[in-house]
Amino acid sequence: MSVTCRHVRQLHDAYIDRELPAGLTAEVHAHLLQCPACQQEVEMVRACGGVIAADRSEPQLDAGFTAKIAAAVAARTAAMPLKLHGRTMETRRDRRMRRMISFAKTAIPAVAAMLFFAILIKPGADVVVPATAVKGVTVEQAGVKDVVGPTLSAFDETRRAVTDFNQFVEFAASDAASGASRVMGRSTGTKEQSSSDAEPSLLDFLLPTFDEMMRPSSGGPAAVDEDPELIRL
Amino acid sequence: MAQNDPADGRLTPERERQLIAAAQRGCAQSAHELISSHQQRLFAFIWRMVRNNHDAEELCQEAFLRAFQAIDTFDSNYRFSTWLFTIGYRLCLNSMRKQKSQDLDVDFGTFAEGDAPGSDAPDSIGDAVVNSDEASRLKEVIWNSVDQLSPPQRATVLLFYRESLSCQQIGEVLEIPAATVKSHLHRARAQLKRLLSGELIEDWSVVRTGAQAG
Repeated sequence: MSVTCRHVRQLHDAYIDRELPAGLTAEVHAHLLQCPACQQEVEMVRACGGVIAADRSEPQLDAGFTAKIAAAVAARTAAMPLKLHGRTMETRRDRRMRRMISFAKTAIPAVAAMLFFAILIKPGADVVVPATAVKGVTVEQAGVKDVVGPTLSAFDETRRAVTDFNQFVEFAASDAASGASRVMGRSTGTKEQSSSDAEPSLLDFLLPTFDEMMRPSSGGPAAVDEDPELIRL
Repeated sequence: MAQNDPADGRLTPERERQLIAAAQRGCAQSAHELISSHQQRLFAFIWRMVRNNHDAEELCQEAFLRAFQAIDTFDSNYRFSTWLFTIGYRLCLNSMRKQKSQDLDVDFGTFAEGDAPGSDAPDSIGDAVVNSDEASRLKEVIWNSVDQLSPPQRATVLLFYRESLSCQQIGEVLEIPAATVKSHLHRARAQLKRLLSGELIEDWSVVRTGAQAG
C-alpha cells in the first residue's frame, strides 16, 4: 500500500517528531519526494518550529535583574516568621493560626474594654458581686438570692398541700370503708353495733347533704317509695 | 565556577542538585547562581505568554520568589526549570484571567536583525528562515500566529520547541496528561498551518529556494 496525501496529513506530526517506525518513515519520505504540496506543508510546519526554537528576539533582562530578585528573595524569606532558611515551611494552617493570634491580640483588649465600660455605666450596678462556683456551675450570689428564696417557699407550700391532701385521702378512705360496712349491715337486717357508730365519720356529715341534693323538689310516687338511705348515683 | 551545559549555558543536573541543596541550607550565592542561570529562559517564556515587558518582569520575579519560598519542599527528582515553568505558567494564567483584554500589539521593532540561531535548532530550514532577508516578516507572521493559540497550546508550543521538553515533561509543567499535551501540540500545529498557509506561501517559496541554493 502506498502512502497518499491524506496519510501524510495524518502522519506528519509523528513524522516531524521522528516517532514513526523506520519503514513508515521511508514511505512518507518517498511520497514527499514526489508530492510538492505535502513537502511544502511538512516543511512549513518544521520551519515554524525552527523559528520558534531559534528566535531569541525577546527583550533581554537588564544586568541588575538577578541581584534584584536575589534581594527580594532574601527580604521575603526573612519576613517569614516561621521559616528563616529553615527546614520547615509555613503551612496554611500555621498562617491561619498566626492570623488568629494577631486578631485575638487586638480583639480581646477591645472586648474587655467594652465590657468594663458597660459594667461601669449599668444603672444600679455599683457593686460588682464576685462570682461563686457551686458544683461546677458559676452563678452570681445576687442571682442565687433572687431565685432560691421564692423557689424554696413555693416548694414548702407545695409540700404542705400534698401532705394535707394525703391526710384527707387516708381519712376519706377509712370513712368510706366503715360507712360501706354499715350500709351492708342495714341492708341485710343485722343489728350489729360497730365501733364507727360511736364516733361520727366524714360520710355522716356528707351523706345528709348529698341526700338533700338528690331528693326531688316535689314529692312524687318514686320519692314516696324510695328508701331514704339509698344513695342514687 | 558553574558547571554548565556547553550548548546553551544551562546547568547540568548534578550541578543543579548541588545548588538547590545549598540554597535549601540558606546559601545566597547558590540562590543567585540558580536565578542567573534560569532567569532569561523563564522571562522569555513568560514574555511570550503575556507579551508585555512590565508584566513579564513582575511575573518572573514573583515566580522566583515563590520558588525560593518553597525551596525546602522541592523534589530533586524533577528539574528546577520544570518547577519554575510550572509556577510561571500558573502566574501567567492568573495574570491573563485578570487582564481579559490582552494587548496583542507586539513591538517587532525590538527584534534584533540577524540574531544568531541557537545551535539546538531542529533543522536547517528553520535556520534559513531566521537568517534570510524575509526573516522579519516571517517571524512577525509566525509569532502573530502563535499569539492566536490558546494559552495551553501556546505554552505547549513554547516548551516543546524552545525548551525541548518532551510531552511527558510538558504535562508535568502544565499539570495535564501527556496525551493532552500531544493533542495540544497537534491542534497548535494544525492551526499554525492554517493561519500561515495564506500568509507564507510567497515568502516561503523564496526562503526555500534560498535554502536549497545555500
